[in-house]
Amino acid sequence: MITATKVTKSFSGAGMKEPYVALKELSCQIPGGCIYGLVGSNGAGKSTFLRLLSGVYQADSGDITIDGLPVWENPIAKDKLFYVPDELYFLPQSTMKKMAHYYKAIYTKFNWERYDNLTQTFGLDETANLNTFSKGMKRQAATILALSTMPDYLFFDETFDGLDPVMRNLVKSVIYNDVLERGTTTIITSHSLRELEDTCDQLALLHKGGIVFESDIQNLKTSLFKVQTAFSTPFDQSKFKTVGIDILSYTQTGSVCSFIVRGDRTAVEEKIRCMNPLLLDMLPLNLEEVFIYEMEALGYAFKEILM
Amino acid sequence: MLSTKFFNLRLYLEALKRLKVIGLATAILSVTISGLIPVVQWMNIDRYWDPQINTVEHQTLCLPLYATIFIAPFFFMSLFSFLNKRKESDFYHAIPYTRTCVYISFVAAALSFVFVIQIASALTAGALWALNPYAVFRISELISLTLMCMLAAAMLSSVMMLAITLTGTDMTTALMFFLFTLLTRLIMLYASECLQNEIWILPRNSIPFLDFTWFLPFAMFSFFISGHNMLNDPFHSPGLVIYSLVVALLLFTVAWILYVVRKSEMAGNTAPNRLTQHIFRCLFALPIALIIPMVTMVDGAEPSLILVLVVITLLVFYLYELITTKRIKNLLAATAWLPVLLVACLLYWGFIGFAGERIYANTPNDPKEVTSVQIDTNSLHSWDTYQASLIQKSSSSDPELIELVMKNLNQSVECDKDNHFEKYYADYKTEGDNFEYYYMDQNWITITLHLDNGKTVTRRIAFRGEDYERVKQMYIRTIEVDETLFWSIPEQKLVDALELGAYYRSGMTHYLYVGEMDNMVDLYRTLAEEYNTLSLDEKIWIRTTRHYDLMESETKVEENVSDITVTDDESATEALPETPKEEELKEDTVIAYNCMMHGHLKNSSTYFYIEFCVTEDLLPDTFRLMEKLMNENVISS
Repeated sequence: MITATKVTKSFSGAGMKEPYVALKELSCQIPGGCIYGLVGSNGAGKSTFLRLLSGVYQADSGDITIDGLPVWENPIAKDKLFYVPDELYFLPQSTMKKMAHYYKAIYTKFNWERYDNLTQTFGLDETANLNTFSKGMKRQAATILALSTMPDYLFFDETFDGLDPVMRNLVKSVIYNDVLERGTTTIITSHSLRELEDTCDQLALLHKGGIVFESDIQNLKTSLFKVQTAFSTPFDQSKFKTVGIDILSYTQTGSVCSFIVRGDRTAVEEKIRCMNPLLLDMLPLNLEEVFIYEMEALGYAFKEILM
Repeated sequence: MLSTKFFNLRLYLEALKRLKVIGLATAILSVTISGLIPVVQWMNIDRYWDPQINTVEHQTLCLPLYATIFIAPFFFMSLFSFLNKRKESDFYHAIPYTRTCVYISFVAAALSFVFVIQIASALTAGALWALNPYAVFRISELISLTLMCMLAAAMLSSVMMLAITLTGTDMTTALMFFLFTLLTRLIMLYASECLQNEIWILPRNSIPFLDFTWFLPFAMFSFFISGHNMLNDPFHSPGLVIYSLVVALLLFTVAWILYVVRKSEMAGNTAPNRLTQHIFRCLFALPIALIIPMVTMVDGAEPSLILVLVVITLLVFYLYELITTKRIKNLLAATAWLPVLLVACLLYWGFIGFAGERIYANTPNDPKEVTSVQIDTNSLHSWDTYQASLIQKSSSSDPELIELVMKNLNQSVECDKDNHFEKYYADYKTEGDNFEYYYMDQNWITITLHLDNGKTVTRRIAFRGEDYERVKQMYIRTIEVDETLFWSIPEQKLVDALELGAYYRSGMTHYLYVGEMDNMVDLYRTLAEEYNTLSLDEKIWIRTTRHYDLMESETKVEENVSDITVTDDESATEALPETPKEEELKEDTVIAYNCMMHGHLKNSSTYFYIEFCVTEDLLPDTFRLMEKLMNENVISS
């Protein structure tokens, strides 16, 4: 399990008058064996959080532990994790094979069999200079190397960027398999919610250095839905509130209205049918729409946060 | 656990791989040039010169070694450049090793690469010089040179490591390296210069670590700068070696601590934060700014010079900010820190003034306070350095001598306070009644005063002409030195080498170094046997006669005798060789040989030399042996 408790991280530089606070008292618990999606706009603190989890950065205050071990300057904790950054780095003039040998010497659990299997699956030339690889191929190579170290914790920063749809699905399936087979805890960051929608078990929205929303994806998707209905007599929003329907957002044009509802879908449908509507449609929401309404309910303008 | 916390072989090897471009290029150049020098000299001797056996001077022994001192820091800059690039920095900080482990493994790799190159170069040079039939060299000198160059390279590399850990871009790293290399040394030099120019009674080199020669990377080049061969000094100066080693270790340790706490996010930033940026900028301009109080103290305030210095200081101050942050708006914020430079100059001025006052205040003025005096014999010119060392630790408590010393000390203090000495040198003329010295440099003696309160004070004292002679005479009499011992020669085991030359009518020949060879032992034994049988006056003649003495037709032997010996025995001088008459000599006739004995004292490791004038009359066996040696080493074409 990963535990972050009131983690604050700020940056200062020669040209900065005031330190820039990237993370402010961030707290979260990421259970083992899940795929945790971290979404947020540029500058929200996603990469900073991953670097803190990887021991690259040291928190100004607060604690970060992996399986109860502090990460900073702790080779035992760092041996359990692998961090794939947004900007990849390979040793100068190295090939995948050389990098594999390098990681073999560094990570205690490096698995050659897994490395060979993955290299064959992705069809990459392990003897070619990594500098000759395209951006997407480098991402694939980094993923292969990361998985070959058999980490308990895998951190991917904007990993799916630069991958074509086929490769994206391949990488995702490889990560799924790892989670299923080995129970690897995986954190994936992205500024695109759609990217994470079908990948993660849990999602957290990071904004201005803090997690503003965190939820299980399955609950999130089923907890909200959209209702479109019409009545022959005049009505307004109060008509639904009187029967105990929890409306998050409501719009009406003439006799037709649509609203977002939180609650049990069957029960809500039953309540509205009892009102004899002229029209009734119960529509599912995509993850982005769910986020928009949940954010609005919390008082955030979603578009400002993620667009 | 040790392999992930402190040192890791894999990281070490990886670091060596990262260094292969700069390392192999340096190695190829260094080893090739080291080998080429003896070969080229060999070829040129055959073609152009009269083939003679020459002693290889240390500066040509393995020239590339000097270059490696200054290339070494760039090994570190290249290896640790990952700290200045975000993704590389993240890569190395994410791997499961402690920062200490990365630091130690990488530093060890860079140092060992440099050392291997230096040793390979030295071995190549040594092997080829040994094969060169026209050259002789001292193996110990080559070993010492290599070790000192290794130490100097390590010292400079430690400065680079400090710069690397404090900065986040390659340019600021280079600028800080330049600054750290020179800043402390410049400030110390300024202080030394100011104090010594202001306070004439302050002994020269009284604070040796202030001198540039105490900074090993520079000391190695002292021969090229001043013509003085510092090489022998540092090798046998444990103080300098220990100082250099301690500084290198200290800086590597400080750099290690800074490396551990250094934030990965510093990559690409010129300084850790705004405050350090201000500090770096001020430090960068400080060496120029401090020249202003220095010139005003030393040479008097020339408004135009001060104006130029102020402008240069401002230029350096603002340019540093502009180059490192590349933002014009930052110049305004930088201006707020200009007063820091002003305060630093004032503090420096105040410090020098205060130090000067303290020196005067701590100088005793009453002879009753002084229990004994001890002359720094090296500040006299009468005796060779071996003799000076024999009476180095002697002191005299003769009241008359103390009275004489204190009279001249008080006079010197007064003159110093009134700037008479400074004016004298500035105008090349004497001023006032107090000042009647003809040749001032000869009249300064450094004397340590032992006070009745148990303290000791060392001062340079300017003596009047007659007092100068008197103080030397009185001193030598009252310290009860044994004259036989005074004119003796040291044991053979203290002698490192003998250097031979021939006194021709036309001048001197080249020198031949005879060291670490059977020849040296044979020659020493012969010289010692013959020398010990001589009378005291003959010994004095041999030790004090030089080429120019032999060429003066009317030279009187007594004039050459040092003032330590006052003899009225005319018969003693009759036995001395007569000076050859100029017309009797041919151009190529050897009239005498010169033998310089180099060595180090057993306890203090102090370098000494003794010069002998070897004539056929007084030292016949030595003369013939030297003749043989000189002739053997001159190969006829």
